[in-house]
Amino acid sequence: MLRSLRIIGHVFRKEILQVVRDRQMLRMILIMPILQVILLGYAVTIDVKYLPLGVVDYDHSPESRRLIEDFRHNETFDLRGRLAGPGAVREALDSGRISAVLIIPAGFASSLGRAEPVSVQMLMDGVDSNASLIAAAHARGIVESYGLSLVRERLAGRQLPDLRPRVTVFYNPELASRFYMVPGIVVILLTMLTSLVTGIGLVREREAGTLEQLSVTPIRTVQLLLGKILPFVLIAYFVLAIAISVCLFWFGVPMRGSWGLLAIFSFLFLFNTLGLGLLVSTIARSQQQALFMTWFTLIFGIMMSGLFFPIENMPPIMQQLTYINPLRYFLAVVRELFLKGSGVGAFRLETAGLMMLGPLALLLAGLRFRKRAR
Amino acid sequence: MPVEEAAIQTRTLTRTFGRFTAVDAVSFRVERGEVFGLLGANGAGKTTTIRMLTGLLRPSGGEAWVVGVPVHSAPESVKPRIGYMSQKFSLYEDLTVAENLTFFGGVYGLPRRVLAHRRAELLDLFDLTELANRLTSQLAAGHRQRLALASALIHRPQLLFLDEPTGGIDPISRRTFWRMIAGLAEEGTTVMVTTHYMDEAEYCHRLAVMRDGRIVAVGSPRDLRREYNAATIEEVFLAIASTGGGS
Repeated sequence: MLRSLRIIGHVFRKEILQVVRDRQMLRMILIMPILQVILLGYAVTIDVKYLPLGVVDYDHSPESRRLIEDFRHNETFDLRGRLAGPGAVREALDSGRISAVLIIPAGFASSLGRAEPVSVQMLMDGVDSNASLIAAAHARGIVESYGLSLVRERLAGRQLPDLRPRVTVFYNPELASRFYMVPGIVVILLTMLTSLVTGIGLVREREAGTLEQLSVTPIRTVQLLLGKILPFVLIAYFVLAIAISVCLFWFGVPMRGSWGLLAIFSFLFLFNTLGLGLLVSTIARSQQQALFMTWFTLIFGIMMSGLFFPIENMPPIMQQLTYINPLRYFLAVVRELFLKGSGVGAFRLETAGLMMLGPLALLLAGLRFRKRAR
Repeated sequence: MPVEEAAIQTRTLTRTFGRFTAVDAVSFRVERGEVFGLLGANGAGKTTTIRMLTGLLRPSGGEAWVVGVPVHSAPESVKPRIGYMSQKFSLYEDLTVAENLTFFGGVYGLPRRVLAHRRAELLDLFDLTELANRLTSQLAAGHRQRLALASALIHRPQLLFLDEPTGGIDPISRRTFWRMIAGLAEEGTTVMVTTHYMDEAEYCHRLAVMRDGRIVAVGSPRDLRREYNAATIEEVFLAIASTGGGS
């Protein structure tokens, strides 16, 4: 037992030495998390703001100008100016200078005056379907409240029913998608670092022939794999601490849950990514192959994690598939911990998922790993 | 089978890869303290034989006892007692000379005190003490080879396997290397070595020549030269290769 620990310790020390020797790698481990969380924290947002808007006003009435003013004062849109006619509209949309056009027909004011039905047209660039959907909803809201205000003016002095929803948002009252995305970016960062580094580490030893040298020594597979994994658990916690500091102090993301729970779930999650890395390294013949395989798996894992696309919106089969995606579980835990401060009782499914998938990956890696004679 | 006194004893040891028979029913015996050379062209089966004896490769048939351990059935048990150095000198480039020795000693489970003592001893023996803190990637080929040998000896193996240990090494380093091998054998370590260099074969106590997976001649360099009426082992080797050998 003691002897076994000593052997693991020697592998551990060797791995740490190799990481520390590689200055470039060390710099990346230190600086990458900070840069990535800050830059992506700003870039990855699903809030729709300042969508470039063009206006075609065929009416030139005080009423049409009022509607345009309402659009100007809404921060969903950024009024870029007036367009002359259909040709100009098409050209502006095609070139991408603007993403939405408001068209007010001739006779807009007179139709309103005569209480005849009248509509204004919204043209949207649907390439980014998500953004145009959100913007279209905002446009509808602006036009409808303008219409409602006209009704109120016309019926001034009369008793009118006044029904309004009062929406209270829990956990993320400003509905800032940043609070939702930034912890997710931390998860992705941790995933990439730990799975790539372990995967490549073992393949590098195979390429250099040191793995064969180790194969003629009495070291056991478990000792070797543990010795290779544990240093990266340590490094992962270090990176996690840096990245979370950026979350808290740069973006002001609130941490409402328990740090202890975060540490425990991170540990469970790390065995998943490290297991994946090791599994890849038992299949890949070269570092390039390892890189490619890990990338492929990670893209799948990230896309199917629910970070960018809600899992509930996926087709049922894809939803089933996400149950074998450890990222899904850890992402849910991290978000809920940060924004909601949930207790361990809320994470039964996540605990089960992480505790089954991680050891499974490690077991498969251990079985595939050929230290023993073929 | 009376195997206790032999360092290596094989009986019809065979390894096939699909339809290809790399090693074909090879039987030989190596005594303790002997320097035993395995000669043969590329693909003759030398490396496959060594990989089976070191427990890296499972035999398809036959038996092999290495320092008394049946490697055909218990390949892991032989590992603490043998050393292995391959043609690639597998060392960690980004570790220093001393760190490489510490790591390999550690992997064999040597206690700290024993390891420190043995490391100092080997650094001294191989004239590497001054380079102890040098990164392995900065070493000259001759020094790397000596470090690889030192790493293979860190746990005092009874039997040392050398698979083409002198590739890419200058003649002076090669001679120094062979002097060290002779010293090891005198102290009782058995050495089994494969080589391409026929002049090096003269350093071995006994030789086996392999061709197409079989051993076609065995004997001391002197006996082989006499048998084939040759002046050098190179001539012996060429004679065997051209006549199609015996067996």
